[in-house]
Amino acid sequence: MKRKLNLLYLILVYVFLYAPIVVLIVFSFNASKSRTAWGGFTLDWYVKLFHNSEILDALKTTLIIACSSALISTAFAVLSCIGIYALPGRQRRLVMSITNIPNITPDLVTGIALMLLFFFINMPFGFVTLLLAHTAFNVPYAILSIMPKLRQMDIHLYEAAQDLGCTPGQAIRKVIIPEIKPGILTALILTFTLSIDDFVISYFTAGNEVTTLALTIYSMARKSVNPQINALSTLLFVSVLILLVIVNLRTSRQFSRRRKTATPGALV
Amino acid sequence: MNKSLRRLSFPYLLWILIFTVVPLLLVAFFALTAYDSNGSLYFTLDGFKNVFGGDTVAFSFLGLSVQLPLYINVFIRSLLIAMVCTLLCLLLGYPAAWIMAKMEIEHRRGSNILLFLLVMPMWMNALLRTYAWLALLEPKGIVNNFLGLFGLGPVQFLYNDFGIGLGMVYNYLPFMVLPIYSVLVKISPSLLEAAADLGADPRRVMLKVVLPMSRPGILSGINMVLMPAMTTFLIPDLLGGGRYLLIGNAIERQYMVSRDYTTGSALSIVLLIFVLLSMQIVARNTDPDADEGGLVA
Amino acid sequence: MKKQVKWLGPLLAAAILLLPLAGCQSSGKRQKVYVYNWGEYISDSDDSFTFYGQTYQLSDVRKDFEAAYPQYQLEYQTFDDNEKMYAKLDTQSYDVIIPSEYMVTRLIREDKLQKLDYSQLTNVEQYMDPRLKEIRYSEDDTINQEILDYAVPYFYCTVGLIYNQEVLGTIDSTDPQDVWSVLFDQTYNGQIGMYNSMRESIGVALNYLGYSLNSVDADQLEAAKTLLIKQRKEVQPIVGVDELKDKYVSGELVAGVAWSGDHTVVQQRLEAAGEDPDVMQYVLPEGSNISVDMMCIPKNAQNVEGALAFINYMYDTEVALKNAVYVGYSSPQTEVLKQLPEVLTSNVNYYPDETLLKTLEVYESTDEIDKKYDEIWQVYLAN
Repeated sequence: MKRKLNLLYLILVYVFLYAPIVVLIVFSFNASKSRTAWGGFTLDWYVKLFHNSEILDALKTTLIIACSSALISTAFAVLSCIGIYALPGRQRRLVMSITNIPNITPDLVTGIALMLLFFFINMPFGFVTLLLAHTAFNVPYAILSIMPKLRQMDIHLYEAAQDLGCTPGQAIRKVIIPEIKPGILTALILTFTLSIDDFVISYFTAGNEVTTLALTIYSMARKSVNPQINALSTLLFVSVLILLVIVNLRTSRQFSRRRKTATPGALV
Repeated sequence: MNKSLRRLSFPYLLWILIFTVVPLLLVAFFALTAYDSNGSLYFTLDGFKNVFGGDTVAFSFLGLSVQLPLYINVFIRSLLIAMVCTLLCLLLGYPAAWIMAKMEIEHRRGSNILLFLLVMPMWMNALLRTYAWLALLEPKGIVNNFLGLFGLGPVQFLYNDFGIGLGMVYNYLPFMVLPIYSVLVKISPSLLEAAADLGADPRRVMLKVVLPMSRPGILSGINMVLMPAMTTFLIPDLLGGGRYLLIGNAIERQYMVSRDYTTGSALSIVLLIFVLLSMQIVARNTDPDADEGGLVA
Repeated sequence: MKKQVKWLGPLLAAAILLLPLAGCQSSGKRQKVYVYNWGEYISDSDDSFTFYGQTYQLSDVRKDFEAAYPQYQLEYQTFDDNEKMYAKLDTQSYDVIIPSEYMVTRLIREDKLQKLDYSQLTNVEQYMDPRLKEIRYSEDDTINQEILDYAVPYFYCTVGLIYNQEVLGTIDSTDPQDVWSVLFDQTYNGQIGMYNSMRESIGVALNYLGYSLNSVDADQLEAAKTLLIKQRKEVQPIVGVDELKDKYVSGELVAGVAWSGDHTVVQQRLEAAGEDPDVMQYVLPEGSNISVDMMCIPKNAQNVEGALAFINYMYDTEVALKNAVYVGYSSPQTEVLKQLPEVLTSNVNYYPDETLLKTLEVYESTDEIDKKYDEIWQVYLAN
């Protein structure tokens, strides 16, 4: 009985979490443009989506920014982590607590602070500022994902590699990187996700020239959301769902362990 | 480790200087300056005067009504809503995390997929998910139609505290469940058995063993919910019908609509100081080595 | 731990697969014409459309343009905000842009538009509704006189009151006091619709009080603010934009502020629902707002010939009719007016006569106006 109550409770929580998603997906097939009234089944919005340059451009920008900021910030974080790790204890703690600042600063203030920075140095708002801003908020997350793995590794391995004739570069590539690989992958996935989903920081740093998907949705939401956006979200959601289900079925044992090191971060 | 490796941290030191320290100092700088008609900067306290002075608006709470300056009013209102929302997230999220953790501890199955399902919605754009609540909550929306079957309603859910609170709980609930779960799941089953063997009834086990042990998770959850809930401007914008002013909107409007960087920066600084102080209180209650740990307690 | 690689692989693969989706573009020998218009603002469907009892066959007029002018290939992009459009002008060259009148004013002032060669705009010369020359597009007299040399109206719309005739009776007057009074009437608590935008809300209050929509007088603005705060407390209007339309159809709202185009949509939806469309009426008070979206050619356009061909094509009767039916705003093309349902074109609220037209105002945008309006709006929001 108690088990059933528990189960019921969980089901209610998940209904709460999924109700709006179901609504979105269902209404992407709605022939009427209305948000509440069902006007019959249609695939029109999906067809139109592939001819909508505004949405497709935004999607392109979003993906380019997410891929490049994930790669740049992770690569940068790997080198920085090794450097920070080599610092003496007190300096290391200082650097790590500064690294934590963006983590505890509200997104809103981070976005504004970066906007003021670009404004102050007279940098024109656009793709470059957007990429810099995304990289800037991603780097600390990448570092916080990689650092624990670096601390777990046996530091003598690096010295041993050098004693055996490796250059420092080789030692990093062949010894350290393989050891911290899980952390690097966590960092890549986390930063990619954060960047795709970011709205607040993009809002302040994108300017008028470039638009990400989240910004497009925001500007539409203030007038009327085009059902094409529902269609696109459904496509993205379903493809990620399928990919993750496949991967999850194969590696379900590892899933919970991984989640403990990678939180999805503040998405709103 | 080799000292030459320290050089690798230098670019990062420069990076955090440029992208973390300087921008925050710039916010403080803009809060204390303004442009005159010639476009040159001058020192001013107008920003802070605007924050703590200006038009007054009546603030009512528990039947009490006082006239408070506009932004103080907005600030307190935002804090109250965020606190209620955090409390609701905790009350709703803790049992969910505990049920999931128990499944993992007792049966070692089931919780993976549940955890996965908890994170999955985040892959759909948060704005859209929030926006979809409009369709659910409208007077002629899906929920009210459902209530109508029982002769209830229609209830006005939107454009008021309820709608905004619901939007917040919806968006931030996973951030409360995840850290609590990750702490609860580490509790050894033998510990619970031991407590039971020593005569503790389930309620006492919960109060005396589980709850105290999950404190870091709860604090981390509060950290991850309270601040975003207090500073969001999207949720009041979408669910408040564009007519709802919380501190997040107030700041956003200063920069993007009024173009008054001085007042906007002064508001940001006040907010930031408030957040850092409250974080300090929470941090004092968490593990001393937390500053070098992972992202979740 | 190695298995984690599999997580990332599919994710990045998906990202990379989706990329070319956005980039595919066929190239040909045809000259490109870059057009930058509002979203959902051109006929792009092949459906037939019933509009006030008359059936019209629509088509994708962008394809039709390419068929009529095989030498041109249309590159069509959309925007949703005048300011965003403005920002893009510096980095990208468009041949035709379609901003609102205040943005046209600004572009002329900044010397970013070129004068139009009317000898190539024969359709425009022949069909442009003369009343479009009566509109006061700008406070700046010189610009007002020469704006049509730079820009050709595409569609226009007004801000008026949409109301339920069965509940409120017919409103005959065009006196703003009479028209708007229902918005501030406590009897209709929870049944009034308001747009959530600042200018529309403050504008209605100013108009009701008998002041200019662009007033900067402190007392007048204070009165408007007090009125809106009182309305919010006593009438509790429903705010929104798009969602309001369905609420007029369902009868949930009895009256509200509406753009003329929204009213036609409401009537169509009533008709589709098998109800009498005339239940919801629209009235345009004197001194209210008019806005005109205008086609113009930026100075840095690459294909001026193509741009002129496009503008002229938009004034082709068949094309303009399809657009007018699809978009639902007021058309500036005289032949189209003859073919649209008479109930629409004879309605002075949609197609205001000269006297009414002369009283209408556009929203001016200056630093002073922006700042003052924003201040009172902020206080209004916090109340």
